Amino acid sequence: MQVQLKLFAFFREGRFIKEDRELTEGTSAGEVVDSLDIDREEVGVLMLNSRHCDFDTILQEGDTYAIFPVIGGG
Amino acid sequence: MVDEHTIRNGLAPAEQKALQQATVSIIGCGGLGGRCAELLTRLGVGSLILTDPDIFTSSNLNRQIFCTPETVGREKAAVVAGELQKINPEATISFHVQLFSEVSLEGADLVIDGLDSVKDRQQLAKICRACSIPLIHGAVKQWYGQTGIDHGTSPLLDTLYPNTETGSVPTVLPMTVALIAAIQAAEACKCILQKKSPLQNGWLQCDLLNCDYEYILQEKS
Repeated sequence: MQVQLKLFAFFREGRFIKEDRELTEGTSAGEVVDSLDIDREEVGVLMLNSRHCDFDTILQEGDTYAIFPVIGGG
Repeated sequence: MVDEHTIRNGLAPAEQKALQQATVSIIGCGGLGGRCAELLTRLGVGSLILTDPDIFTSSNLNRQIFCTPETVGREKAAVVAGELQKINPEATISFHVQLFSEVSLEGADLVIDGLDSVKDRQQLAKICRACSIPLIHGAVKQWYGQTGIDHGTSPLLDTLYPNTETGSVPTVLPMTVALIAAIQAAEACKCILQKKSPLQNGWLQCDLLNCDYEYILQEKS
């Protein structure tokens, strides 16, 4: 199945801003984070089709999945 | 502030009066807080309450507007208060050299988040919601920043910070600080003037490296 992935802030560095990926059926949001070598502890917000989701959410064909890091400086 | 100081704002007299009568609490007087305080003072906000327990250090020189070799070692809140008073001698500037508490918010119409820790931000958001005071959030890391408004019906910081882990000390570029602080000041101005803003229902994600700025709608829980 095809899913569009969107990364934000420093998660983009060495990866991409937006990319279409072919994923196997039943892939979870957390498994995508892991496959991108992103530390789950660094994740702030996960959004699937503009709605909040969590690491256990299963992705579906045609989804847009956005991953935001925690930004904490001031 | 005499009229000539704010005449180039181009705001209506009633709007400028509203700004003059407003009180803004700045929590954290470093990068975001110091810059935002300066902008709000130039804008003509009549009263500011500054809170910061720290002193300026040399590592603040890259991004904190009131940090100079001369002010290193001095209390941030006191230095910023002194500099703001020079910009507008008519303004009422008070400061607290301590961690924020309800005292920092007394009489405030809104609060500026100039903090640099997740845990402190979560605590500040709780206090602001309990006092029904809007919290104008800003945060930065390297080329990236985010800003939005946390209030009772849109608890933004619960969304952005689901955990209390703070990680390592963030690296921050001065341009990112200036941009996010400027947006916080603009949002503060609009709050005071009761103008609607998309940031009351979401947040802005800023990427200065890729010139990419995206508004994210906060989903109602």
